[in-house]
Amino acid sequence: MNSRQQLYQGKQLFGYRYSFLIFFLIILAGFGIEYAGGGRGITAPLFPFNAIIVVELLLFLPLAYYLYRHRKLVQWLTSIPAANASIALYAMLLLIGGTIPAEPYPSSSFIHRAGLDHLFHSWPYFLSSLQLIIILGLTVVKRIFPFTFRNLGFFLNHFGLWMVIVSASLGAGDMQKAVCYLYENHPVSMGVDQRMNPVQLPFSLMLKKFSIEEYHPEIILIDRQKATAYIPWRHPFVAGEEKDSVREFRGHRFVQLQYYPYALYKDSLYVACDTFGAVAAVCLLIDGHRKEWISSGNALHPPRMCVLDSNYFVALTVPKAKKYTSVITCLGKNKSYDFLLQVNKPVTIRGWTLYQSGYDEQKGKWSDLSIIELIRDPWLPVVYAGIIMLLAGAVMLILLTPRSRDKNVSSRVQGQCDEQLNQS
Amino acid sequence: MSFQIIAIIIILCWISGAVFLALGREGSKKKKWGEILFAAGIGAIALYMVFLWIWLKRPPLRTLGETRLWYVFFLSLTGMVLYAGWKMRWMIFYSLFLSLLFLMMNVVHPENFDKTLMPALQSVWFVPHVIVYMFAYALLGASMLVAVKGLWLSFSHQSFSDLSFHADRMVRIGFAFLTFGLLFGALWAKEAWGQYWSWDPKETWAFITWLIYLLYIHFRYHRPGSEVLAMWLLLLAFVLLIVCWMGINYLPSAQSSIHTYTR
Repeated sequence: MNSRQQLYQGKQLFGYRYSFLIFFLIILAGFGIEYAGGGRGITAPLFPFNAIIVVELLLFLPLAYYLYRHRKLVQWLTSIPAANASIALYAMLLLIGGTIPAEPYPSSSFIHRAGLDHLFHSWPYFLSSLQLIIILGLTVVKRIFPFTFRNLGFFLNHFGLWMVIVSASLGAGDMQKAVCYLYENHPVSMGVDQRMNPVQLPFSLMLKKFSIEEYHPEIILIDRQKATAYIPWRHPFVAGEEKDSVREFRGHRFVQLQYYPYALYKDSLYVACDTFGAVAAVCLLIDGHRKEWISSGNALHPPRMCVLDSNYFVALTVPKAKKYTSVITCLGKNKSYDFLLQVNKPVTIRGWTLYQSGYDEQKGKWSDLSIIELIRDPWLPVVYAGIIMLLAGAVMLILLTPRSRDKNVSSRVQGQCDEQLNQS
Repeated sequence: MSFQIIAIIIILCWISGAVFLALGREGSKKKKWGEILFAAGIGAIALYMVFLWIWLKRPPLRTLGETRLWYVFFLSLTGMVLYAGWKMRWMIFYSLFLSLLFLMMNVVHPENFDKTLMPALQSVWFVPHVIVYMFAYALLGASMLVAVKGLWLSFSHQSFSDLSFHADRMVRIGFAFLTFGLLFGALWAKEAWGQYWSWDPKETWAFITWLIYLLYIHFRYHRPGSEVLAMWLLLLAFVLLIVCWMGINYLPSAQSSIHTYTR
C-alpha cells in the first residue's frame, strides 16, 4: 500500500462517527466531573496562572505539531471531521445554555449539580472549549507555512478565533467588576462586586450633578377587565404634540388641552411646578364636553386615570428616559477634574472603565443617585486583537470568494491530498 | 403615509412584475417591464424606509417589524442582483415569495410607531450592527432557497450541479456579514455595558447560528460530493437563524434577555 492510499485510509479511519463519539464522551465525562463536584463549576485562574497557561499553549501546540505531525492522533485532530464534530457538540452545549433560563436553581437539584444553570462556567463547557482550542491551535500551525495570501485569510480567521476563545475564557479570571453608588456630594472610593465584597478603587469619585432628559409620555387606554395597557392608535398619542388635533376611538373623541411635563395636583387640577415629586400631567377634552386630567404618577404620587367607559380607563404613561448624564468629579492625590458620564460613552481612569449604569428611578429627574459600573479588564487588548483578526478574516472571506466553479471537483480534492503529502 | 398603502403598492408591483418576467421571453419587452416593476417595488420599500427614518427621528431598526422591513429590502435586492449578475432567473421568484411572506407579516402585525429610543440604543454601533445582520440574513435566506430548490430537484431525480456552488458563495458572503454583526455587537456591548460578551440568550443563539454556518463551510470543503446532506444542513441552519432572530421571545430563557424586541 503506497503512502497516498495510507493517507486516504487515515482519513476514513477517523471520520465523523469516531470524532463525534470521542468528543461526546469527553463532554459526558465533563458532566460527570461537574456532578461529582456538586455543581461547583470551574472558574478561570488569576494572573499569573492564566498567562502561564497561554504561554504553555503557544509553546506546546506548535511543538506538538512539528514533533508528531506524522502520528495518526495529530492528523485526526487537524482533520475536518474532528473540527466539525467539536464545533457541532460545542454548538449543542450552547443550545442548552441558550434555552435554559439563567436563574440559579437550588443547589441540590439535578439541574444545578449537572451544571445546567451555570453551563458557561461548568466542566462540560470547559472541556468542549479545550477541544476547540487544541484543534484550532494545531490546525493554525499546520497551515501557517507557506505564507500565501490564501493562508493569510485562513490564519486570520482561525488564529483570530483561537485568540478570542483563549483570552476571553482565561482572561475572565482577571476581570474585575464593581458597582458604585454615587450620591451627590459624597465622595466614594470603594465599590461592591457581584458577591457584595468591597473593591478598593485607586481614586475617589463624587457625583456633582445627575441630569436626565425624558421623552414625553403617551396617552393610552387601560383595559379594565384585563388590567393591561391597550393602545388603539397606530401612531403614539404623545403628550404635548398634535395640539388641537382629534384622536378617535370607538366613537369617543380626544383632544389635548394642556400638557405639563412637571406638575403637582392642587385643588382638583394640575399646576405646572418643576419641583421634586412633580409628575407629568395632561388635560384631555373627551367627547367635546368632558375635561379630565390624567397623570403618570411616580413613587410619591399615584398615577391619575380617568374612566372612559365600562371597558377602559384613559391613562398617561411614565415618561421614558432619553438620555441621562452624570457630572462626576474624580479626586486624585494632587488634582481633581470633572468629567461627564453617559450611556454608550464610558470613561477610563487608571485602568478602570466607568459606565453609566442607572439612577434612582423612583426620584427620576431629581435623582441624587447615580449608579456607576466600573470594569477592569486587563486582557481586553488581547481579545480586541483577536476580534480585529476575525474582522479582517471575514473581509478576506468576501475577497477570496471564488468567481467560477472548478471544472473538476475530484481533482481539487486530489490536489489537497498531494499538498498534504508534500508537506509531511 | 400609511404602511398598508405602501405594502399594497409593493405587492402589486412585484406580483405583476413576476407575471411579466415569467411570461416574457429572453430580451422581450414583457421581461423588461417585469424587471422594471420588480425594481420599482424595491425602490418603494427604500423610499418608505427613508421616510420612516425621517419621521421617527431615529433609525427604523429597533422593533422586529422594522428589522423585517430591512430584511424584505435586502432580500429582494439580493434576488435582483443574483438574477441580473449570476443569471439566476428562478432566484427572483423565490426571493419574491420569501419577501412577500415577510411583508405580509408586517401587514398582519402592524407597527405601533414609537419614536422613542432608549439610551443604550443611542450608539454609533446601532445602525451598522442591525443592517449588517439583516443583509447577512437576506443572503443566508437566499442560500436556504437554493437548498430548497436543490432538494426538490434531487427528490425528482434531476441534477442540480450548479446550485451547490451558488449556495456556497452566498453562504461565504452571508457568513462574513454574520461575523461582522456578531463582532459589532460585542464591541457595542463593551461600550454600553462594559462586557463584550455576557451569554445573553440572543448572543448565545447568534453564536449558534454562526457556528452552524461555519459547520456548513467546513463540510462543503471536506465533502464536496455530499450535496444533499449539505442542503439539509443549510435548511437546519436557517431554522436556527429564525429562532435567533424571532424566536428568542418564546424561549424559556427570554425573561433574562436584554435583547427581546420592544413592542
